[in-house]
Amino acid sequence: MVTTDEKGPLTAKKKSVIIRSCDGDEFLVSESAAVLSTSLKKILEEKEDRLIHLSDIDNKTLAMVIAYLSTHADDGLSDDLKRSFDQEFVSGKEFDVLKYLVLATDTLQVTCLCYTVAKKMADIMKNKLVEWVRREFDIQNDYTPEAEAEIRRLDAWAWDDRQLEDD
Amino acid sequence: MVSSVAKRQKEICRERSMAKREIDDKCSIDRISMLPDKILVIILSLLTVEEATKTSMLSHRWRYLWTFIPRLDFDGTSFLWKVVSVLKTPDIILVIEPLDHSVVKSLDTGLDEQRRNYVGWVDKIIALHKGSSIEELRVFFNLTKTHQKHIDKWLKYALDRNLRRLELNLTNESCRISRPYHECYTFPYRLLGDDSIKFKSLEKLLLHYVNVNGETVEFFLRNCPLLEHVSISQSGDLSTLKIVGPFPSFKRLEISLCHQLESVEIRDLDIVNLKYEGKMIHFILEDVLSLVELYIGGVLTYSMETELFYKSVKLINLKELVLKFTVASHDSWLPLTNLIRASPYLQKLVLKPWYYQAFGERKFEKTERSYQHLKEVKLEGYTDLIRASPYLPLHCQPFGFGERNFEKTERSYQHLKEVKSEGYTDLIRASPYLPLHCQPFGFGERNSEKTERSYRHLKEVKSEGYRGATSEVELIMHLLHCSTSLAKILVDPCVAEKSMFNTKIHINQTIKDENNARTHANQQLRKMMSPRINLEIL
Repeated sequence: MVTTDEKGPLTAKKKSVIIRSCDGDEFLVSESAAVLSTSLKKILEEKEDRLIHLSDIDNKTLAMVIAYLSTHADDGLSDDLKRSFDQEFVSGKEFDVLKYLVLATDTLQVTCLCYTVAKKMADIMKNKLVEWVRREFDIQNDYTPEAEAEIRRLDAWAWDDRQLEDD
Repeated sequence: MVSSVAKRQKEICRERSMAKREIDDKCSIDRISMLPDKILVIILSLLTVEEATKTSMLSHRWRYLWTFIPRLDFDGTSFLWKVVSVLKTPDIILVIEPLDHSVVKSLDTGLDEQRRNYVGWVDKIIALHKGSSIEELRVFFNLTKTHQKHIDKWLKYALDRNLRRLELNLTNESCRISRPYHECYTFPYRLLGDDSIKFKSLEKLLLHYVNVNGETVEFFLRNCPLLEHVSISQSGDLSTLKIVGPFPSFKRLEISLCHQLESVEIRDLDIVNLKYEGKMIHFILEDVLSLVELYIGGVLTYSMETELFYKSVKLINLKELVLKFTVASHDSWLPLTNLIRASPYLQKLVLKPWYYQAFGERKFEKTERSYQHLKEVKLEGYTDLIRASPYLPLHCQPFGFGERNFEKTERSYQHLKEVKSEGYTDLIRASPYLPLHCQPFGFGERNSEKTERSYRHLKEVKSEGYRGATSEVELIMHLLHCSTSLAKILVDPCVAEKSMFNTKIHINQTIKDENNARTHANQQLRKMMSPRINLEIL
């Protein structure tokens, strides 16, 4: 909800949108950046209100997504620069951070960012032993030892003696 | 100012999100499994099929998740590794040295066994797969026509599911002998007859070591409005290819090593990227104004270039040109400039020579004789001949680049002055290396106006497989002189023949040659560089 006090400057800057995270903080985003998200685009088409409340995206994640959208909406940047931005964007990020990011991209429907983040997560999983993935990603092994052995037996063709690094 | 309701909302939100974080910390819920299936499937589809299937082991939830992946990447690298693991140095199996008979035999049996494993594996995966649409099918393994039925089945499965990218690379990796065409898998032409609807979504078509004919390629282009990238390699069925546009989506065409090919005709296309590598063919290239990157490779790159040039092909958007060519060490490279000239906005030039004669055996006497001979002719004013042998003065290089050489170059310089005063500007333009020889004597400036115009936009030159041959130095000098914005020359003496295992193939002689080339580049090329050029020697 926006008071009349706020509406003044808002109508003046017609090209901007305010996005509020679930932490309550507000971010001013250019409309050209916001519409790169399919969900935001739909919301903007449906309602006059320039304030969008996202109840399941926190400050930190939202700030990252907005940085991404703003960079990709910048016509002054070449595709090469955008590509290297994408690389930088996901490198060195903690798995948890990536997880919230990928969830946010799903909510906001930002397909290209979703794939960039998913690719990074896939790269982290690559060449790792099952035990490593379980440990690192806190996945509860709900198989009984017998069931696990059975799957290993059934899926022997997918398993045999692959060389994997356990680091 | 925010109203009190909004303020309250804000507080609730903050509390909620803090509560959420606390739960996360306390219970340490599956960090990855809390993601919806939809996203997990996306992540899995970015792995190879081999890696994705392994996740069924994680927990019940993961058991069949991978079966929904829309991207099937049947990467057979690990199967290929098993074949070559019988060797002491599997990463350099392709070295030319003969292998022991027993090793060869175990390689062959190993390959047969892994082929059975691979085919059985792909069959099983496809039987278990449940996804309703397939974005990508990638098959990368050493397979032949023996596996025709299996591969046909995989193709049909994927094509029935709105396939977007097809990559069939039936590589010859881990084989020591090349595979004749009649043993290669042949594209199932009857699939095309069925109904063309199923090809509607195709964006990329890559067929390597697959026999496929020109009509099929044309069929795909006509029936797949989204088709953007076509790459055909090692096809024994391709004899003629005629692609006449417009096909607005079509941006990239690669044809390589199709030895039955006789003619290629490309007209009215918006392609941005074109690669041709192979034997000399009748090549028509017209109205491809969007072309930005061009790669030409093969035995007769020269003739092809000349042909293109004389048909006055203009490549007004070309930014990058890669030339791969087979030459004798004494062949001049200057004819290559034809194509460079046809591309006024060229920015990057990559040269990849392949010498079919070892460097140790350079015949000094022979070059000397031909030099003397040419000098005589030159004096008779046969300008054509001079144009045809523009490398002339530099041939003295093998006798040492020092003082002795200067006499000779000086003589040729004097001669040229004469020619020039007679007004043979064409000749000078046609032998553009000339000013550079004369430069030390202060001849450069007068000439520069003319030549300068040639390569105004060229910024980077990369010389791969550099050997320090006369022809190489000569062309580099020529480019140096004729370009105003050239900033970087990259000299890489390594012959970049890479195998799947990503290791460079080295033979002792090659290593020796590479070291000589490096020394040469350091001693000779450095001297000639102007300060604005960044010369990098790898």
